[in-house]
Amino acid sequence: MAYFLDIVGSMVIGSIVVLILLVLNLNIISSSSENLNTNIAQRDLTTAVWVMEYDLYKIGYRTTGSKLATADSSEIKFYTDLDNDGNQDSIRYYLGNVSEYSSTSNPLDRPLYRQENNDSVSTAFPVVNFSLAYHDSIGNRISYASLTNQTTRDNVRSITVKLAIESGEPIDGNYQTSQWEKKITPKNLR
Amino acid sequence: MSRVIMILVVGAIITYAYTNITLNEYTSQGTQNAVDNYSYNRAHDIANGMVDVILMRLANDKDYRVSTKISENLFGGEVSYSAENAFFDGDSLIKIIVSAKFNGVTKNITSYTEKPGGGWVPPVVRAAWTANADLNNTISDMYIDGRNHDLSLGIIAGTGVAGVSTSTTFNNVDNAEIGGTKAGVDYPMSYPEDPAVIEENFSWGGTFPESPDEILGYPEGTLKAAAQSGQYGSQYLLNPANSGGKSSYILGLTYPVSGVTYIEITNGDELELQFEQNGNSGIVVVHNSDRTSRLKGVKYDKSTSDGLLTGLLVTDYSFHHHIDILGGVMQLSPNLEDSKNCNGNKDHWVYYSSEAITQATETAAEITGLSANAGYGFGKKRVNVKHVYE
Repeated sequence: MAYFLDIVGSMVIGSIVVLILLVLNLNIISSSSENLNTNIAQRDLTTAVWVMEYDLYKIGYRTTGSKLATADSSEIKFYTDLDNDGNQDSIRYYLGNVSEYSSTSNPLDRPLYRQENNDSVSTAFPVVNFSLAYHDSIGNRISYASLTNQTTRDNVRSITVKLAIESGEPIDGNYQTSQWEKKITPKNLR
Repeated sequence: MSRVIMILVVGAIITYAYTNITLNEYTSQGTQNAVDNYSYNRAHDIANGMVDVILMRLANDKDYRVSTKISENLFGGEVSYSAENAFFDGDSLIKIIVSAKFNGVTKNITSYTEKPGGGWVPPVVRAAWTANADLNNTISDMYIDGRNHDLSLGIIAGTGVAGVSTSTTFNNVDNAEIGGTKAGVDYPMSYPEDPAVIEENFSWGGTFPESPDEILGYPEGTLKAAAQSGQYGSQYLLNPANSGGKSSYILGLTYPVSGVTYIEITNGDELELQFEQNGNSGIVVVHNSDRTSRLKGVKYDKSTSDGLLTGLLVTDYSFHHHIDILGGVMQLSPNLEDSKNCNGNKDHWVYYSSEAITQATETAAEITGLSANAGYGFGKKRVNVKHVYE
Protein backbone atom coordinates (compact mmCIF):
# COMPACT_ATOMS: atom_id res chain seq x y z
CA MET A 1 0.00 0.00 0.00
CA ALA A 2 2.75 2.40 1.00
CA TYR A 3 4.59 1.60 -2.23
CA PHE A 4 1.41 2.33 -4.23
CA LEU A 5 0.97 5.67 -2.44
CA ASP A 6 4.59 6.55 -3.16
CA ILE A 7 4.03 5.92 -6.86
CA VAL A 8 0.76 7.90 -6.97
CA GLY A 9 2.26 10.73 -4.94
CA SER A 10 5.36 10.98 -7.10
CA MET A 11 3.16 10.87 -10.23
CA VAL A 12 1.06 13.75 -8.93
CA ILE A 13 4.09 15.78 -7.92
CA GLY A 14 5.85 14.87 -11.19
CA SER A 15 2.78 15.94 -13.20
CA ILE A 16 2.61 19.22 -11.33
CA VAL A 17 6.31 19.83 -12.00
CA VAL A 18 5.82 18.96 -15.67
CA LEU A 19 2.80 21.27 -15.90
CA ILE A 20 4.70 24.10 -14.25
CA LEU A 21 7.58 23.57 -16.65
CA LEU A 22 5.22 23.49 -19.63
CA VAL A 23 3.48 26.70 -18.57
CA LEU A 24 6.84 28.31 -17.92
CA ASN A 25 8.04 27.24 -21.33
CA LEU A 26 4.91 28.52 -23.00
CA ASN A 27 5.30 31.87 -21.26
CA ILE A 28 8.93 32.05 -22.21
CA ILE A 29 8.16 31.21 -25.82
CA SER A 30 5.35 33.77 -25.89
CA SER A 31 7.45 36.56 -24.46
CA SER A 32 10.32 35.49 -26.66
CA SER A 33 8.11 35.83 -29.73
CA GLU A 34 6.82 39.15 -28.46
CA ASN A 35 10.36 40.32 -27.95
CA LEU A 36 11.40 39.04 -31.34
CA ASN A 37 8.55 40.84 -33.06
CA THR A 38 9.21 44.04 -31.13
CA ASN A 39 12.84 43.75 -32.05
CA ILE A 40 12.02 43.19 -35.71
CA ALA A 41 9.64 46.17 -35.70
CA GLN A 42 12.27 48.30 -33.99
CA ARG A 43 14.96 47.19 -36.42
CA ASP A 44 12.70 47.91 -39.40
CA LEU A 45 11.91 51.29 -37.93
CA THR A 46 15.57 52.11 -37.32
CA THR A 47 16.43 51.17 -40.90
CA ALA A 48 13.58 53.27 -42.31
CA VAL A 49 14.49 56.20 -40.05
CA TRP A 50 18.14 56.17 -41.03
CA VAL A 51 17.31 56.13 -44.72
CA MET A 52 14.71 58.87 -44.30
CA GLU A 53 16.97 61.07 -42.21
CA TYR A 54 19.79 60.60 -44.70
CA ASP A 55 17.50 61.80 -47.49
CA LEU A 56 15.52 64.50 -45.74
CA TYR A 57 18.51 66.38 -44.33
CA LYS A 58 19.72 66.78 -47.90
CA ILE A 59 16.59 68.43 -49.30
CA GLY A 60 17.61 71.28 -51.56
CA TYR A 61 21.33 70.49 -51.62
CA ARG A 62 22.86 71.88 -54.84
CA THR A 63 19.51 72.41 -56.47
CA THR A 64 18.18 75.37 -58.35
CA GLY A 65 14.54 76.37 -58.42
CA SER A 66 11.92 74.92 -56.14
CA LYS A 67 13.11 72.26 -53.74
CA LEU A 68 9.82 70.64 -52.77
CA ALA A 69 7.73 69.30 -55.63
CA THR A 70 5.09 67.59 -53.49
CA ALA A 71 4.26 68.20 -49.85
CA ASP A 72 1.27 66.29 -48.57
CA SER A 73 0.26 64.52 -45.37
CA SER A 74 1.67 61.17 -46.46
CA GLU A 75 3.69 61.99 -49.53
CA ILE A 76 6.73 64.11 -50.22
CA LYS A 77 8.83 64.65 -53.30
CA PHE A 78 11.91 66.79 -53.20
CA TYR A 79 15.06 67.62 -55.11
CA THR A 80 18.63 67.23 -53.93
CA ASP A 81 22.01 66.16 -55.15
CA LEU A 82 21.90 62.96 -53.15
CA ASP A 83 25.25 61.52 -54.16
CA ASN A 84 27.01 64.88 -54.40
CA ASP A 85 27.94 64.38 -58.06
CA GLY A 86 26.62 67.70 -59.35
CA ASN A 87 23.45 66.18 -60.79
CA GLN A 88 20.09 66.95 -59.28
CA ASP A 89 18.14 63.94 -58.00
CA SER A 90 14.52 63.63 -57.02
CA ILE A 91 13.33 61.54 -54.09
CA ARG A 92 9.73 60.61 -53.45
CA TYR A 93 8.22 58.93 -50.40
CA TYR A 94 4.64 57.76 -50.60
CA LEU A 95 2.35 55.19 -49.03
CA GLY A 96 1.07 52.12 -50.82
CA ASN A 97 -2.19 50.33 -50.12
CA VAL A 98 -3.01 48.01 -47.24
CA SER A 99 -3.98 45.35 -49.78
CA GLU A 100 -0.37 45.15 -50.92
CA TYR A 101 0.51 43.48 -47.61
CA SER A 102 -2.46 41.10 -47.50
CA SER A 103 -0.14 38.20 -46.74
CA THR A 104 0.32 39.46 -43.17
CA SER A 105 -2.32 39.27 -40.46
CA ASN A 106 -1.93 42.92 -39.56
CA PRO A 107 -4.82 44.83 -41.19
CA LEU A 108 -2.97 48.15 -41.01
CA ASP A 109 0.45 47.52 -42.42
CA ARG A 110 1.26 48.84 -45.85
CA PRO A 111 4.38 49.71 -47.83
CA LEU A 112 6.10 53.08 -47.58
CA TYR A 113 7.81 53.47 -50.94
CA ARG A 114 10.98 55.36 -51.66
CA GLN A 115 11.44 56.30 -55.30
CA GLU A 116 14.62 57.87 -56.63
CA ASN A 117 14.75 59.82 -59.89
CA ASN A 118 11.54 58.35 -61.28
CA ASP A 119 13.22 54.94 -61.36
CA SER A 120 11.14 51.93 -60.53
CA VAL A 121 10.61 51.73 -56.78
CA SER A 122 13.49 49.90 -55.18
CA THR A 123 12.73 50.32 -51.49
CA ALA A 124 9.60 49.67 -49.48
CA PHE A 125 9.33 49.86 -45.71
CA PRO A 126 6.45 48.10 -43.91
CA VAL A 127 4.64 50.75 -41.87
CA VAL A 128 1.26 51.30 -40.27
CA ASN A 129 1.55 55.08 -40.12
CA PHE A 130 3.54 57.66 -42.03
CA SER A 131 2.63 61.30 -41.68
CA LEU A 132 4.31 64.57 -42.50
CA ALA A 133 3.70 68.10 -41.25
CA TYR A 134 5.32 71.19 -42.70
CA HIS A 135 6.42 74.38 -40.96
CA ASP A 136 7.55 77.82 -42.08
CA SER A 137 10.56 79.79 -40.87
CA ILE A 138 8.97 80.72 -37.54
CA GLY A 139 7.69 77.23 -36.91
CA ASN A 140 4.06 77.80 -37.84
CA ARG A 141 2.42 74.77 -39.33
CA ILE A 142 1.42 75.17 -42.98
CA SER A 143 -1.94 73.71 -44.00
CA TYR A 144 -1.94 70.88 -46.49
CA ALA A 145 -4.46 72.75 -48.66
CA SER A 146 -2.10 75.68 -49.13
CA LEU A 147 0.80 73.34 -49.88
CA THR A 148 -0.69 72.53 -53.26
CA ASN A 149 0.69 75.93 -54.22
CA GLN A 150 4.39 76.01 -55.16
CA THR A 151 4.85 79.45 -53.59
CA THR A 152 3.71 78.05 -50.24
CA ARG A 153 5.90 74.99 -50.63
CA ASP A 154 8.85 77.33 -51.14
CA ASN A 155 8.18 78.66 -47.63
CA VAL A 156 8.66 75.28 -45.96
CA ARG A 157 11.64 75.32 -43.64
CA SER A 158 11.14 72.24 -41.48
CA ILE A 159 9.26 68.97 -41.65
CA THR A 160 7.89 66.82 -38.84
CA VAL A 161 7.95 63.14 -39.70
CA LYS A 162 6.00 60.47 -37.83
CA LEU A 163 6.56 56.83 -38.52
CA ALA A 164 5.02 53.75 -36.87
CA ILE A 165 5.76 50.13 -37.60
CA GLU A 166 3.88 47.08 -36.29
CA SER A 167 4.66 43.40 -36.46
CA GLY A 168 2.98 41.53 -39.27
CA GLU A 169 1.64 38.82 -36.95
CA PRO A 170 0.00 39.23 -33.55
CA ILE A 171 1.19 37.71 -30.28
CA ASP A 172 -1.68 37.08 -27.91
CA GLY A 173 -3.83 39.26 -30.14
CA ASN A 174 -1.46 42.24 -29.99
CA TYR A 175 0.79 43.66 -32.68
CA GLN A 176 4.18 44.86 -31.48
CA THR A 177 4.69 48.55 -32.23
CA SER A 178 7.64 50.92 -32.67
CA GLN A 179 7.16 54.61 -33.30
CA TRP A 180 9.40 57.52 -34.23
CA GLU A 181 8.80 61.24 -34.57
CA LYS A 182 11.27 63.98 -35.47
CA LYS A 183 11.25 67.54 -36.70
CA ILE A 184 13.86 67.83 -39.41
CA THR A 185 15.21 71.18 -40.53
CA PRO A 186 17.12 70.70 -43.78
CA LYS A 187 19.71 73.47 -43.88
CA ASN A 188 19.44 73.93 -47.62
CA LEU A 189 15.77 74.91 -47.32
CA ARG A 190 16.01 78.68 -47.06
CA MET B 1 8.67 7.29 -14.30
CA SER B 2 11.38 9.16 -12.49
CA ARG B 3 13.52 8.83 -15.58
CA VAL B 4 10.78 10.43 -17.68
CA ILE B 5 10.46 13.29 -15.22
CA MET B 6 14.19 13.67 -15.18
CA ILE B 7 14.30 13.87 -18.98
CA LEU B 8 11.48 16.40 -18.95
CA VAL B 9 13.15 18.54 -16.29
CA VAL B 10 16.50 18.50 -18.05
CA GLY B 11 14.78 19.20 -21.39
CA ALA B 12 12.86 22.07 -19.85
CA ILE B 13 16.03 23.50 -18.34
CA ILE B 14 17.77 23.30 -21.71
CA THR B 15 14.78 24.90 -23.48
CA TYR B 16 14.57 27.57 -20.82
CA ALA B 17 18.27 28.28 -20.99
CA TYR B 18 18.26 28.47 -24.78
CA THR B 19 15.16 30.65 -24.87
CA ASN B 20 16.53 32.86 -22.16
CA ILE B 21 19.77 33.37 -24.03
CA THR B 22 17.85 34.17 -27.23
CA LEU B 23 15.59 36.52 -25.31
CA ASN B 24 18.59 38.30 -23.88
CA GLU B 25 20.02 38.64 -27.35
CA TYR B 26 16.79 40.23 -28.60
CA THR B 27 16.75 42.57 -25.63
CA SER B 28 20.38 43.48 -26.24
CA GLN B 29 19.68 44.09 -29.92
CA GLY B 30 16.72 46.27 -29.02
CA THR B 31 18.84 48.20 -26.57
CA GLN B 32 21.64 48.40 -29.13
CA ASN B 33 19.20 49.84 -31.69
CA ALA B 34 18.22 52.52 -29.22
CA VAL B 35 21.84 53.20 -28.28
CA ASP B 36 22.89 53.37 -31.94
CA ASN B 37 20.06 55.76 -32.72
CA TYR B 38 20.94 57.93 -29.74
CA SER B 39 24.62 57.85 -30.72
CA TYR B 40 23.78 58.76 -34.29
CA ASN B 41 21.75 61.75 -33.11
CA ARG B 42 24.47 62.81 -30.70
CA ALA B 43 27.14 62.51 -33.41
CA HIS B 44 24.88 64.52 -35.72
CA ASP B 45 24.39 67.21 -33.07
CA ILE B 46 28.10 67.34 -32.29
CA ALA B 47 28.98 67.68 -35.98
CA ASN B 48 26.40 70.44 -36.42
CA GLY B 49 27.62 72.13 -33.26
CA MET B 50 31.17 72.17 -34.58
CA VAL B 51 30.03 73.62 -37.92
CA ASP B 52 28.29 76.37 -35.96
CA VAL B 53 31.41 77.00 -33.90
CA ILE B 54 33.50 77.29 -37.07
CA LEU B 55 30.94 79.68 -38.60
CA MET B 56 31.19 81.83 -35.49
CA ARG B 57 34.98 81.80 -35.74
CA LEU B 58 34.73 82.82 -39.40
CA ALA B 59 32.30 85.57 -38.53
CA ASN B 60 34.66 86.80 -35.88
CA ASP B 61 37.77 86.52 -38.04
CA LYS B 62 37.31 86.49 -41.79
CA ASP B 63 40.82 85.08 -42.26
CA TYR B 64 40.18 82.05 -40.04
CA ARG B 65 41.15 78.85 -41.88
CA VAL B 66 42.18 75.36 -40.77
CA SER B 67 44.14 73.62 -43.50
CA THR B 68 45.32 70.64 -41.42
CA LYS B 69 42.58 68.74 -39.66
CA ILE B 70 42.29 69.46 -35.97
CA SER B 71 40.66 67.14 -33.45
CA GLU B 72 39.08 68.18 -30.22
CA ASN B 73 36.52 66.99 -27.72
CA LEU B 74 33.08 68.50 -27.93
CA PHE B 75 29.90 67.70 -26.04
CA GLY B 76 31.19 64.32 -24.92
CA GLY B 77 32.30 63.25 -28.39
CA GLU B 78 35.34 63.71 -30.56
CA VAL B 79 35.30 65.97 -33.54
CA SER B 80 37.83 66.69 -36.27
CA TYR B 81 37.48 69.54 -38.73
CA SER B 82 39.04 71.66 -41.41
CA ALA B 83 38.07 74.94 -43.07
CA GLU B 84 39.74 75.73 -46.36
CA ASN B 85 39.23 77.85 -49.42
CA ALA B 86 37.68 75.85 -52.25
CA PHE B 87 35.93 76.28 -55.54
CA PHE B 88 32.51 74.70 -55.67
CA ASP B 89 30.01 75.00 -58.49
CA GLY B 90 32.00 77.89 -59.88
CA ASP B 91 32.02 79.87 -56.62
CA SER B 92 35.02 80.64 -54.50
CA LEU B 93 33.90 79.48 -51.07
CA ILE B 94 35.15 78.14 -47.77
CA LYS B 95 34.74 74.38 -47.43
CA ILE B 96 34.16 73.23 -43.87
CA ILE B 97 34.52 69.51 -43.24
CA VAL B 98 33.48 68.16 -39.86
CA SER B 99 33.61 64.57 -38.71
CA ALA B 100 32.10 63.80 -35.32
CA LYS B 101 32.36 60.54 -33.40
CA PHE B 102 30.18 59.52 -30.53
CA ASN B 103 30.13 56.06 -29.03
CA GLY B 104 31.57 54.52 -32.18
CA VAL B 105 29.15 56.27 -34.55
CA THR B 106 30.60 58.74 -37.05
CA LYS B 107 28.72 61.60 -38.68
CA ASN B 108 30.23 63.76 -41.41
CA ILE B 109 29.04 67.18 -42.51
CA THR B 110 30.42 69.28 -45.34
CA SER B 111 29.39 72.89 -45.47
CA TYR B 112 30.22 75.46 -48.13
CA THR B 113 30.22 79.02 -46.92
CA GLU B 114 30.74 82.32 -48.65
CA LYS B 115 33.91 84.09 -47.70
CA PRO B 116 32.94 86.61 -45.07
CA GLY B 117 33.67 90.16 -45.98
CA GLY B 118 32.61 93.39 -44.42
CA GLY B 119 29.82 93.85 -46.95
CA TRP B 120 26.39 92.34 -47.17
CA VAL B 121 23.05 92.83 -48.82
CA PRO B 122 20.63 94.27 -46.27
CA PRO B 123 17.62 91.97 -45.97
CA VAL B 124 15.27 94.93 -46.47
CA VAL B 125 16.48 95.20 -50.06
CA ARG B 126 13.72 92.99 -51.34
CA ALA B 127 13.84 94.10 -54.94
CA ALA B 128 15.77 96.14 -57.46
CA TRP B 129 13.42 98.91 -56.34
CA THR B 130 11.97 98.68 -52.82
CA ALA B 131 9.49 101.04 -51.17
CA ASN B 132 6.82 101.13 -48.54
CA ALA B 133 4.51 103.15 -50.77
CA ASP B 134 2.88 103.34 -54.16
CA LEU B 135 5.54 102.98 -56.87
CA ASN B 136 3.22 103.12 -59.89
CA ASN B 137 4.33 106.53 -61.09
CA THR B 138 7.83 106.60 -59.68
CA ILE B 139 9.36 103.77 -61.66
CA SER B 140 8.17 105.33 -64.92
CA ASP B 141 9.14 103.45 -68.07
CA MET B 142 12.62 102.38 -67.04
CA TYR B 143 14.13 98.94 -67.35
CA ILE B 144 14.07 97.34 -63.92
CA ASP B 145 15.63 93.96 -63.33
CA GLY B 146 15.74 92.09 -60.02
CA ARG B 147 17.90 89.33 -61.46
CA ASN B 148 21.30 89.33 -59.80
CA HIS B 149 23.92 91.04 -61.95
CA ASP B 150 27.65 90.94 -61.42
CA LEU B 151 29.71 94.07 -61.84
CA SER B 152 30.11 93.33 -65.56
CA LEU B 153 26.31 93.12 -65.95
CA GLY B 154 26.43 89.33 -66.32
CA ILE B 155 23.54 87.52 -64.67
CA ILE B 156 24.20 85.27 -61.67
CA ALA B 157 21.44 82.75 -62.23
CA GLY B 158 18.76 82.11 -59.66
CA THR B 159 20.08 84.42 -56.97
CA GLY B 160 18.17 87.62 -57.61
CA VAL B 161 15.21 89.33 -56.00
CA ALA B 162 11.91 90.82 -57.15
CA GLY B 163 11.95 93.62 -59.70
CA VAL B 164 9.68 95.83 -57.61
CA SER B 165 8.64 95.45 -53.98
CA THR B 166 5.91 97.65 -52.57
CA SER B 167 3.56 97.56 -49.63
CA THR B 168 0.69 98.67 -51.86
CA THR B 169 -0.80 97.34 -55.05
CA PHE B 170 1.30 97.86 -58.13
CA ASN B 171 0.25 98.93 -61.61
CA ASN B 172 2.85 99.32 -64.29
CA VAL B 173 1.21 102.50 -65.62
CA ASP B 174 4.12 103.65 -67.78
CA ASN B 175 4.88 100.26 -69.35
CA ALA B 176 8.24 99.69 -67.72
CA GLU B 177 9.97 96.47 -68.63
CA ILE B 178 10.50 94.54 -65.42
CA GLY B 179 12.34 91.33 -64.66
CA GLY B 180 13.46 89.54 -61.53
CA THR B 181 13.92 86.29 -59.69
CA LYS B 182 11.43 84.33 -57.64
CA ALA B 183 12.16 81.06 -55.84
CA GLY B 184 15.38 80.69 -57.79
CA VAL B 185 13.74 81.18 -61.17
CA ASP B 186 14.89 84.10 -63.29
CA TYR B 187 12.37 86.08 -65.31
CA PRO B 188 13.83 88.34 -68.02
CA MET B 189 12.60 91.90 -68.29
CA SER B 190 9.38 92.25 -70.22
CA TYR B 191 6.27 94.30 -70.59
CA PRO B 192 3.81 93.26 -69.46
CA GLU B 193 5.97 91.85 -66.72
CA ASP B 194 5.61 88.38 -65.28
CA PRO B 195 3.63 88.75 -62.01
CA ALA B 196 6.30 86.67 -60.29
CA VAL B 197 8.73 89.60 -60.41
CA ILE B 198 6.41 91.97 -58.56
CA GLU B 199 6.09 91.83 -54.80
CA GLU B 200 3.01 93.90 -54.04
CA ASN B 201 1.04 94.42 -50.84
CA PHE B 202 4.07 93.26 -48.92
CA SER B 203 3.40 93.45 -45.20
CA TRP B 204 6.39 94.90 -43.38
CA GLY B 205 4.66 94.59 -40.05
CA GLY B 206 6.26 97.81 -38.81
CA THR B 207 9.76 96.78 -39.81
CA PHE B 208 10.22 98.99 -42.87
CA PRO B 209 13.30 101.13 -42.26
CA GLU B 210 12.60 104.78 -41.55
CA SER B 211 16.17 105.90 -41.98
CA PRO B 212 19.23 104.91 -44.02
CA ASP B 213 20.82 103.60 -40.83
CA GLU B 214 17.92 101.25 -40.27
CA ILE B 215 18.45 99.81 -43.74
CA LEU B 216 21.92 98.71 -42.71
CA GLY B 217 20.92 97.94 -39.14
CA TYR B 218 23.19 100.69 -37.81
CA PRO B 219 22.63 102.88 -34.76
CA GLU B 220 21.02 106.17 -35.76
CA GLY B 221 23.57 108.72 -37.02
CA THR B 222 26.20 106.18 -38.04
CA LEU B 223 25.99 106.73 -41.79
CA LYS B 224 25.96 110.49 -41.38
CA ALA B 225 29.09 110.26 -39.26
CA ALA B 226 30.64 107.96 -41.86
CA ALA B 227 29.90 110.51 -44.57
CA GLN B 228 31.36 113.30 -42.44
CA SER B 229 34.53 111.28 -41.88
CA GLY B 230 35.50 111.75 -45.51
CA GLN B 231 36.94 108.24 -45.67
CA TYR B 232 36.86 106.44 -49.03
CA GLY B 233 35.67 109.66 -50.66
CA SER B 234 32.64 109.99 -48.40
CA GLN B 235 30.88 113.37 -48.37
CA TYR B 236 28.21 115.05 -46.29
CA LEU B 237 26.09 118.06 -47.24
CA LEU B 238 23.43 119.78 -45.17
CA ASN B 239 20.91 121.88 -47.11
CA PRO B 240 23.30 122.19 -50.04
CA ALA B 241 23.57 125.14 -52.36
CA ASN B 242 21.99 124.61 -55.73
CA SER B 243 22.45 125.78 -59.27
CA GLY B 244 19.15 127.64 -59.28
CA GLY B 245 16.92 127.79 -62.28
CA LYS B 246 14.51 125.08 -63.24
CA SER B 247 16.79 122.18 -62.45
CA SER B 248 18.22 123.46 -59.14
CA TYR B 249 20.77 120.71 -58.98
CA ILE B 250 22.85 120.21 -55.90
CA LEU B 251 26.23 121.93 -55.72
CA GLY B 252 29.12 121.12 -53.48
CA LEU B 253 29.77 117.47 -54.18
CA THR B 254 33.05 116.20 -55.55
CA TYR B 255 32.59 113.64 -58.32
CA PRO B 256 32.78 110.76 -58.77
CA VAL B 257 31.09 110.07 -55.46
CA SER B 258 32.22 107.07 -53.46
CA GLY B 259 32.04 105.65 -49.96
CA VAL B 260 29.01 107.16 -48.21
CA THR B 261 27.47 110.26 -49.76
CA TYR B 262 24.91 111.72 -47.38
CA ILE B 263 22.84 114.76 -48.33
CA GLU B 264 20.50 116.06 -45.66
CA ILE B 265 17.78 118.43 -46.83
CA THR B 266 15.80 119.96 -43.99
CA ASN B 267 14.88 123.34 -45.46
CA GLY B 268 12.20 122.12 -47.84
CA ASP B 269 14.23 122.76 -51.00
CA GLU B 270 13.22 120.54 -53.89
CA LEU B 271 16.44 119.77 -55.71
CA GLU B 272 18.00 117.62 -58.39
CA LEU B 273 21.01 115.39 -58.00
CA GLN B 274 23.19 115.54 -61.08
CA PHE B 275 26.07 113.07 -61.30
CA GLU B 276 29.28 114.17 -62.94
CA GLN B 277 32.24 112.05 -64.06
CA ASN B 278 32.39 108.28 -64.41
CA GLY B 279 32.80 105.78 -61.61
CA ASN B 280 30.14 107.01 -59.17
CA SER B 281 29.69 104.40 -56.49
CA GLY B 282 28.82 103.58 -52.90
CA ILE B 283 25.81 104.46 -50.80
CA VAL B 284 24.13 107.67 -51.89
CA VAL B 285 21.60 109.05 -49.41
CA VAL B 286 19.24 112.00 -49.74
CA HIS B 287 17.19 112.17 -46.58
CA ASN B 288 15.93 114.01 -43.54
CA SER B 289 14.68 112.67 -40.25
CA ASP B 290 11.02 113.27 -41.21
CA ARG B 291 11.49 111.44 -44.51
CA THR B 292 10.18 114.55 -46.30
CA SER B 293 13.18 115.48 -48.43
CA ARG B 294 12.26 115.71 -52.08
CA LEU B 295 14.59 115.00 -54.94
CA LYS B 296 12.78 116.09 -58.07
CA GLY B 297 15.35 114.60 -60.41
CA VAL B 298 18.24 112.14 -60.40
CA LYS B 299 20.23 112.88 -63.52
CA TYR B 300 23.74 113.09 -64.94
CA ASP B 301 25.84 115.44 -66.98
CA LYS B 302 26.02 113.77 -70.37
CA SER B 303 29.13 115.71 -71.31
CA THR B 304 31.22 114.30 -68.45
CA SER B 305 29.53 111.19 -67.11
CA ASP B 306 28.33 107.79 -68.21
CA GLY B 307 25.39 108.18 -65.83
CA LEU B 308 26.07 104.97 -63.90
CA LEU B 309 25.85 104.64 -60.12
CA THR B 310 27.19 101.37 -58.74
CA GLY B 311 25.79 100.80 -55.28
CA LEU B 312 22.70 101.73 -53.36
CA LEU B 313 20.56 104.84 -53.86
CA VAL B 314 18.49 105.75 -50.79
CA THR B 315 16.03 108.62 -50.98
CA ASP B 316 12.92 109.76 -49.17
CA TYR B 317 11.03 110.96 -52.22
CA SER B 318 12.68 111.02 -55.63
CA PHE B 319 11.32 111.28 -59.13
CA HIS B 320 12.64 111.59 -62.70
CA HIS B 321 15.34 108.95 -62.40
CA HIS B 322 17.46 109.50 -65.49
CA ILE B 323 20.53 107.47 -64.59
CA ASP B 324 21.55 103.81 -64.59
CA ILE B 325 21.87 102.07 -61.25
CA LEU B 326 23.70 98.80 -60.71
CA GLY B 327 22.77 97.72 -57.21
CA GLY B 328 19.40 98.83 -55.93
CA VAL B 329 17.07 101.65 -54.97
CA MET B 330 15.29 102.13 -51.65
CA GLN B 331 12.76 104.87 -51.05
CA LEU B 332 11.81 105.66 -47.47
CA SER B 333 8.92 108.12 -47.75
CA PRO B 334 5.38 106.78 -47.36
CA ASN B 335 4.28 109.40 -49.89
CA LEU B 336 5.89 108.85 -53.25
CA GLU B 337 4.80 110.41 -56.52
CA ASP B 338 1.22 109.43 -57.28
CA SER B 339 0.11 111.85 -59.98
CA LYS B 340 2.93 112.96 -62.29
CA ASN B 341 4.24 110.76 -65.04
CA CYS B 342 7.83 110.54 -66.10
CA ASN B 343 8.04 109.14 -69.56
CA GLY B 344 11.23 109.47 -71.52
CA ASN B 345 13.76 107.60 -69.43
CA LYS B 346 13.33 104.33 -71.22
CA ASP B 347 17.02 104.46 -72.01
CA HIS B 348 17.90 103.99 -68.34
CA TRP B 349 17.84 101.04 -66.02
CA VAL B 350 18.05 99.76 -62.46
CA TYR B 351 19.65 96.33 -62.22
CA TYR B 352 19.85 94.54 -58.90
CA SER B 353 23.41 93.54 -58.06
CA SER B 354 24.33 91.86 -54.79
CA GLU B 355 28.00 92.43 -55.65
CA ALA B 356 27.49 96.17 -56.08
CA ILE B 357 25.50 96.45 -52.86
CA THR B 358 27.98 94.27 -50.98
CA GLN B 359 30.80 96.44 -52.25
CA ALA B 360 28.99 99.56 -51.07
CA THR B 361 28.15 98.19 -47.63
CA GLU B 362 31.67 96.80 -47.28
CA THR B 363 33.03 100.30 -47.61
CA ALA B 364 30.50 101.50 -45.05
CA ALA B 365 31.60 98.68 -42.76
CA GLU B 366 35.25 99.64 -43.23
CA ILE B 367 34.49 103.22 -42.25
CA THR B 368 32.18 102.49 -39.35
CA GLY B 369 33.74 99.27 -38.13
CA LEU B 370 30.25 97.85 -38.12
CA SER B 371 29.00 95.05 -40.28
CA ALA B 372 25.38 93.94 -40.42
CA ASN B 373 23.72 93.91 -37.01
CA ALA B 374 21.43 91.12 -38.07
CA GLY B 375 23.43 88.01 -38.55
CA TYR B 376 25.62 85.41 -37.09
CA GLY B 377 28.58 85.37 -34.81
CA PHE B 378 30.16 87.31 -32.00
CA GLY B 379 30.11 90.57 -33.90
CA LYS B 380 26.68 89.68 -35.26
CA LYS B 381 28.24 89.50 -38.65
CA ARG B 382 26.60 87.46 -41.34
CA VAL B 383 28.22 84.36 -42.76
CA ASN B 384 26.27 83.04 -45.68
CA VAL B 385 26.15 79.26 -45.85
CA LYS B 386 25.63 78.24 -49.46
CA HIS B 387 25.40 74.44 -49.27
CA VAL B 388 25.28 71.86 -46.51
CA TYR B 389 25.77 68.16 -47.16
CA GLU B 390 24.88 66.20 -44.05
